[in-house]
Amino acid sequence: MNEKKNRRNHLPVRLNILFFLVFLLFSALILRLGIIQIVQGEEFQEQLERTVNISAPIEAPRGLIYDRYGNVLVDNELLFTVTFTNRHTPQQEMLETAEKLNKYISLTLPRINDRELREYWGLLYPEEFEEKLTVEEASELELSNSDAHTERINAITQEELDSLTEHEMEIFPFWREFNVGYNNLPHKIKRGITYEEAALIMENLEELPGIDIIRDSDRVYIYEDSLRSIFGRVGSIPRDEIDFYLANGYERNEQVGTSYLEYQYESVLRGRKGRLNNFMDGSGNFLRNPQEQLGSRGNDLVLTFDMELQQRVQEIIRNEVEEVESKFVGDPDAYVVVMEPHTGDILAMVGYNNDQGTFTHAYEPGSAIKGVTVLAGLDTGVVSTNTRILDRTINLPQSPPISSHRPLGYVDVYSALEQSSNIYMVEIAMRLVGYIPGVSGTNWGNFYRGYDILRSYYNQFGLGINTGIDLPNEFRGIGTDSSYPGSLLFLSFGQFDTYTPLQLAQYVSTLSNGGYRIAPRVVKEIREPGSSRDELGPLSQQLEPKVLNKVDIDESYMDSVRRGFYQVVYGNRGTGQLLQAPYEPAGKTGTAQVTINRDGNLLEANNQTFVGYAPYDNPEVAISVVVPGMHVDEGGVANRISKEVFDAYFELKENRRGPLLPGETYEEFDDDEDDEDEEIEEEIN
Amino acid sequence: MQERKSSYQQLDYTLLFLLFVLMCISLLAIYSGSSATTESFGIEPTYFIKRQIIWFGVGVILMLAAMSIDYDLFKNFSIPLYSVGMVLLLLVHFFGTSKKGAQRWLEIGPIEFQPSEFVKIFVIIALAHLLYTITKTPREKSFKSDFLVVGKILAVGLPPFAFILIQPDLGTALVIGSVMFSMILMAGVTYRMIGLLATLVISFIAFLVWLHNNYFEIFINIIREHQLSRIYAWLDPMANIGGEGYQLYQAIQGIGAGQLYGSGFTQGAKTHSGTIPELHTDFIFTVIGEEFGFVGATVLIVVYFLLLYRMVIIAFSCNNTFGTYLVAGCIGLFVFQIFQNIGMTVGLMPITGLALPFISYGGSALITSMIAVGIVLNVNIRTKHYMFGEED
Repeated sequence: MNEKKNRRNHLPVRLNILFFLVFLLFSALILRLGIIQIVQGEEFQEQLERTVNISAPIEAPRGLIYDRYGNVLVDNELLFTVTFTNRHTPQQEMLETAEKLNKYISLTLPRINDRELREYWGLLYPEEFEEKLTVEEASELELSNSDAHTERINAITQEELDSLTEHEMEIFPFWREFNVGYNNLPHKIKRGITYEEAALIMENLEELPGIDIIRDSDRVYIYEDSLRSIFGRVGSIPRDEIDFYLANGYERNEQVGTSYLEYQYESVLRGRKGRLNNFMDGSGNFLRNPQEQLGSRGNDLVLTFDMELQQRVQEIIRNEVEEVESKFVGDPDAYVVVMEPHTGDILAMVGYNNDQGTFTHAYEPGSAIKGVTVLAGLDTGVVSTNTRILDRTINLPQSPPISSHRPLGYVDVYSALEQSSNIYMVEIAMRLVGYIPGVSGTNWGNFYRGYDILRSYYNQFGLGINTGIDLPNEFRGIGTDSSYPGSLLFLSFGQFDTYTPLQLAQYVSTLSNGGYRIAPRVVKEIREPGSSRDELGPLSQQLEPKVLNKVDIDESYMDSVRRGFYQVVYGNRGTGQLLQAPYEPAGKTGTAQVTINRDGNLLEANNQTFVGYAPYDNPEVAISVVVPGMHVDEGGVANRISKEVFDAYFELKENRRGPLLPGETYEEFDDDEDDEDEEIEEEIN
Repeated sequence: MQERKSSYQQLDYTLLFLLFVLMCISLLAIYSGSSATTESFGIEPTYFIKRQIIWFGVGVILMLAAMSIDYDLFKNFSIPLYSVGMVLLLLVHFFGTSKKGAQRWLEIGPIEFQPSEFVKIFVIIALAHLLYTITKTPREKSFKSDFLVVGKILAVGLPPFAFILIQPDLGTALVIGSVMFSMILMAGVTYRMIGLLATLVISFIAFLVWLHNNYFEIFINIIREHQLSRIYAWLDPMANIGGEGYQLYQAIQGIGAGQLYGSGFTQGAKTHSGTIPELHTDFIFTVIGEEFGFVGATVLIVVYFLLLYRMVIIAFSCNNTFGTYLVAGCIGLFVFQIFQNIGMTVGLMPITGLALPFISYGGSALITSMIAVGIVLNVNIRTKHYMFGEED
């Protein structure tokens, strides 16, 4: 009985021991957890935060550029691009990777840098390279490592460089590209590889350390060269601007707008970058599941341009210039700016060679600026609307004789503009400085003032100062050398200072709209990306026209000049009668006599110009036309261009068909109509 | 025979509730812990928890099955079951399929299973039966008789232990060892005997260390290379971060970052980074440690503790020694698995491939655990409660 009791009694004790062991073990676990999570927890937390937040940007496409009617002008195309990320990669590994990558794609360099090629040779033939200057020799000469390296590099002979095999030269561009990028940032090795190439590389990424394929985009210009130079370029950040961009959150290897529109509106067009959050551990290995946050396209620009009008104007200029191509003394060229006078919207901006020239090249405009000279005369009171002046040849000491294109007899303000009298302008200039030829007691003493007064009036209309266009690199024209009194007279009829076609357009707009100088603009609206490419997205910002100044001249004087401009077209002896049309334009012709230096010979030539607006009583469009360097015998080119540009503008108001894509013609439509006609004829028959 | 309370009334609801709590924790942790895997394979995020729920369902059915037969009848099956287990282990040894360098699985048609899991149960039943027969008749209190008892227990326990060890599956082998230990403890052998056994084990480990330091070529024939590297990693995870230490270091970093309150459900940076292998299976405690912090992890450990406490209570109140031995074996089974699994994730123990009972994703291990609980409940509902003290 006793023994039996013993047997039963040991069980609870042993169970207690077992339970106590459980308690001990579990206490150990909790103690250990306490150490890890509470004592060392903060440290681990920091480690984790430090290692997780490593992310790389994903390229997002730039915003699109549309014309005022929503036609896409600048688009993006998706590219596959090979990148290499240099993570302090050993040179030998780079060579191996280059070798493998060369199996899938080839690469050529625009030019080969001699020094880089030498480094490459040294890397390929380390033993021979070492022999150029042995370590013992280097230490005897007490050369530092880098100096010794330079010595060796310089000791490589041209023969040795030439002995590099064709295959080694194929690898060289890869090695070179691998080395030029920033550390730890993907550097673009080759853009726009084919889908097949990209697929092959993707399949073999494991054996290509540092190599990656990214989706990249490139600009596509739908209308080829139209406005191309206005759009500007996209490229790598210029070295001297790197700090500015870095401060604004850019990466060193990013693509930015480097000129014109792309540059001016960089902050708008820039794609909102996506990020690739990589989970990385302490030893710097990328882990399995990167999270992709996709970026979004940058905001779109809606330009003021009317692409269809732009194309029509291009066509007009091409036809007119090519018709008289042989008559150009200089290189064939012509410019047209079409602008809305009340908003400053530029509808078209065409240069025969380069559209950008409309605001980066300046020419003597000739009589086209006489409108302002007359206003200066009227406003200062040196002439009145009744003043009549005899248009004759003026001979001044130490100056070539000055005359109009022919003697015009007595002219007043209106006929002076209608027939383009130079003498009337010269009289105004002379009276401004208080000099009357042949009258004793008057002299040229004040001629400096004449420049100041005339130029201050020109400036009020935008001539000789910045127009305020929303594009960089605007040229102001040349107007510096004012040390001779005689030049003042030439200034008065536009044969001294030079102006850009854009300045002329602003001048005539200001005159036509009642004296408001409005900054010309090429961007109308900024819009968020739309749901499809052909649909404009929600409006982000509507840009308002900017009035730069109001001309400080009596309204009645402006009316007088406008009447003069009307007579240029509609007067019996007007110089612009060719332009007569139902839309009733007004304007001013110009011919500036210039000399052109051609192969060392100074040749006589004319700049033909026209500035005008239509309709004369309610202007809705203003234009400036400049045809520089035309042979003196060939007249009327600028007038013909002007007539056709006005015609094109008013025709498009009635009937638009949309701009033509490259290779497209409107003849298809015409053919259809012809077919229909034929069918009708057949029916009649 | 006394009037017995209905088994329905006698069911240990506390234990069942704790089991339910563990299942809930399991589903949360698997959902979060499998996210990196589901993402990288592009499968739905609930893929693993849906399957785990099915396993729970199967487990509950088997648990009920294990409860339904009077455990007293287990005695009749103990020898056949044990024999079947040994045959299965032999089959594994010669015809088993290998995964990740270990030969643990048997393939019968489309079904693939790990016999060592079920062998654990068979060993518990066999040992309980053995102890029951030994203690049924009064035993002479002597060192010699103690020695005989221990010898019998080892004779039953060591063959499966050895077969499982050479698969290799050190974790499961040690579970068998833990069951053997608790049985020896319960057998009533003297503390002197227990002390002697402990000394033997410690001496063996010391001998291994000595071999490692002096006769490495012999040592490496006893301890396999991957086991050795796990031990290295355990001793210094940072130094072995490139190899076996990687997983451990990642796990400790994740748990540590959880701090007191954790990063919140599905907010664990480490958990979702995809850096820790086996996160929803063997290393699931990392998810709990990181996302629910010290508080959450302690709650889990306390739930386990209470579960074991209930089992100890059941063992206490059982008036059939066979039942007590069965429950003690199950306690040995659970304690070691829980301690070893959590211990390896926090760096207290070397890494072995053991699942965390009721929490880790996976079928075989869960089913074994559920059957073990079924046996404990079986003992519980068939324990006679007498109105007036105990009488035999």
